[in-house]
Amino acid sequence: MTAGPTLARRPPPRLRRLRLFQTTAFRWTMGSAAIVGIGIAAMGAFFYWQTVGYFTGRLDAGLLLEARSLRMESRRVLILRLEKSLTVDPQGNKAYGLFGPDGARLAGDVDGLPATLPPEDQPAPVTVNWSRHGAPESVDVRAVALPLADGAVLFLGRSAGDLHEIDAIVKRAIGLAALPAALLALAGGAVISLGTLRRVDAVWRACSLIMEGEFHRRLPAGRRHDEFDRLSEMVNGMLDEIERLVDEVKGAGDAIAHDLRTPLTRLRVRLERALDPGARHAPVSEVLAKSVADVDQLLATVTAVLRLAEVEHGRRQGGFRAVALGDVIEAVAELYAPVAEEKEIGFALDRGGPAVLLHGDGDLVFEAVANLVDNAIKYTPRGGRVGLALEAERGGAVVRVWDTGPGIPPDASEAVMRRFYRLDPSRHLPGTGLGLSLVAAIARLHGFALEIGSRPGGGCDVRLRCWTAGAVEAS
Amino acid sequence: MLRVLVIEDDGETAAEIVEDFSAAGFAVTLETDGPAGLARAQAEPFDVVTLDRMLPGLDGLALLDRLRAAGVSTPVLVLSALSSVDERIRGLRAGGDDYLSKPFFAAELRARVEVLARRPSDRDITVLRFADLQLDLIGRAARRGERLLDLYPREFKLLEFLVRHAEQVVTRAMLFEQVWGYRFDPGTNLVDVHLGKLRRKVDGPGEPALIHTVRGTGFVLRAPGP
Repeated sequence: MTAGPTLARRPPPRLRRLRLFQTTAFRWTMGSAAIVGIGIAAMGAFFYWQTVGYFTGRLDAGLLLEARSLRMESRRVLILRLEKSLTVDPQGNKAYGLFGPDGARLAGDVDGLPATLPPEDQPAPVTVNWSRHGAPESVDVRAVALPLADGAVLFLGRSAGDLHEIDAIVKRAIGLAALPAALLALAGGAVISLGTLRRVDAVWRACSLIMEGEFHRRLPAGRRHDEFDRLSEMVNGMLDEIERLVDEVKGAGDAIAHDLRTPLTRLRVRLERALDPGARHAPVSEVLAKSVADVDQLLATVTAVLRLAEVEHGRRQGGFRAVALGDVIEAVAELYAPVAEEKEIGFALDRGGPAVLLHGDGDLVFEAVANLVDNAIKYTPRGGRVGLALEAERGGAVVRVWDTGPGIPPDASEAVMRRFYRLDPSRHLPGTGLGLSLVAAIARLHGFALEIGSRPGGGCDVRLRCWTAGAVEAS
Repeated sequence: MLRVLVIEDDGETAAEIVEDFSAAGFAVTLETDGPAGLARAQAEPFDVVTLDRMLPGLDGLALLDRLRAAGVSTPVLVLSALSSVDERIRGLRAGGDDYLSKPFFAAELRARVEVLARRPSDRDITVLRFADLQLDLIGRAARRGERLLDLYPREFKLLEFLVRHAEQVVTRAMLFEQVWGYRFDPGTNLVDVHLGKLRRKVDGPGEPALIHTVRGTGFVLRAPGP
């Protein structure tokens, strides 16, 4: 032993409380908000691109139209029209210029030709200078340059001022839409998360209390039957089963202690009296014999408890093989017939029907049937009758053990399968109160059903229903 | 004198076994770990070895394996704190001759050791004789003197076991295992009832008793005194 006994209960592990931003709901809301944001941005970009394309197209078409009509005119008319056109330019976005072969400006508001001339049939973006508002400034235009017959060049450009405005509008729209959308997403995420958090907090509180020892407590489950309620119901079902098992273990511990205490006390009193020179007691050899009998009873109880544990926890299904139920019944009958005979009890064996093979542990099945027959003989008074019968049934067989004893009251037929349970009238008989528990455990291991009933004329009628899927009827 | 090698690492259990065996007149040798036990079992002749399942240095079953591989056929009784049937089967499969789970009664262990030590070497015998009992193993007929005993097959088997181990104490658990082939606590006086029936058939009125009860332990088939 390295560590001393630890009496204090280990404190339950502390559950960390969930914070708002850690909730799955919040994270998912943020995630979906980001996706929506990307969507809005993409939509804005598309809208911008389409609009700009449309306006550029219109601008270009206007330019080409004007260029086609101007190039036909004579020089004089051309100059006149240029001047006129420039005077009716309310938006101030026309950058026109007529330049002689030597590059000198003949008319228009553009200061000079750009270094690279745009083509004459496909408007292209160009930067030029003009002095429309007094001081020369550079401006981005879409333009064409038409070479005229006499070597002069006609430059026709329109500034893209409209496009800049559209650009600004679209950006403003995206900004105006994105900010409220982000705020809405945040708020929505927070609201949803708070709802989740409330549910989780309730579960958290309940779990903390359960871990602190309030094992009867359960998780809150509402009537909405949503995923939280389903989870809570599942966990509650699990807790019910755990509590039942813990109670059973506690109960079994208490029962063992109680069952051992009586013979131990009796033993102690008897030995003490034998030791006391002043007390009157039976001869020492008799005292010792009785004491040995008491110790044997104690040992039998402990052995039975261990055996029960072995069957219940051993899960010995690895040792399962084909068992001929008829042979088991006959062996039990052979073993117990003399015991019945000695007690002047009539023993009837009836193994009718076809041979039944089932998948199981032959030794355990034998032990179970032997236990039932042992009980029947034990509780049947002298001169009574006990019967062991094998009856074939669809998909299996029934082992029946009946007797003409006092029987088991219907309201106790469940209780007798519990550990250490003994009906009051039988308390004086030797026994551990574990026999039927063992049979029940063996039945559970095999998937059999143990039914305890009564015979019409009084007495027990116990049935071990072996309906396992592995049961096969052999001819 | 019966020579017994006890291979047991638990001091208390070992002391208990040695004391009981010495009192019964066995010559006891004790080894407390696997390798030493294996060496001793190979070096000296013993009638029986009792072997603990869990040993420091060399596991009990591994020791048994090596002992059998070395050609030593001394009967071995495996002692183990593991009581499950699977463990027992493993113990017997590894070459053990008997298996007893801890805790056990000294008398139970002693009876089993004696039975192992005096195991009839000749299994081909067709007639068993003891005192005025005569068992015809082929015809499955038993006689006491001139009287033919009317025995059920199981009673014959029971008597056969007693005769094979005459003058040795056999316990209820041993009979239940060997004669019926079951290994659980039958609870009531099951074995006693069967033995009582057999006794009434074997020891007829006026005949000296052959089957005796050994208080608290079991039974013994004993020849009537002169």
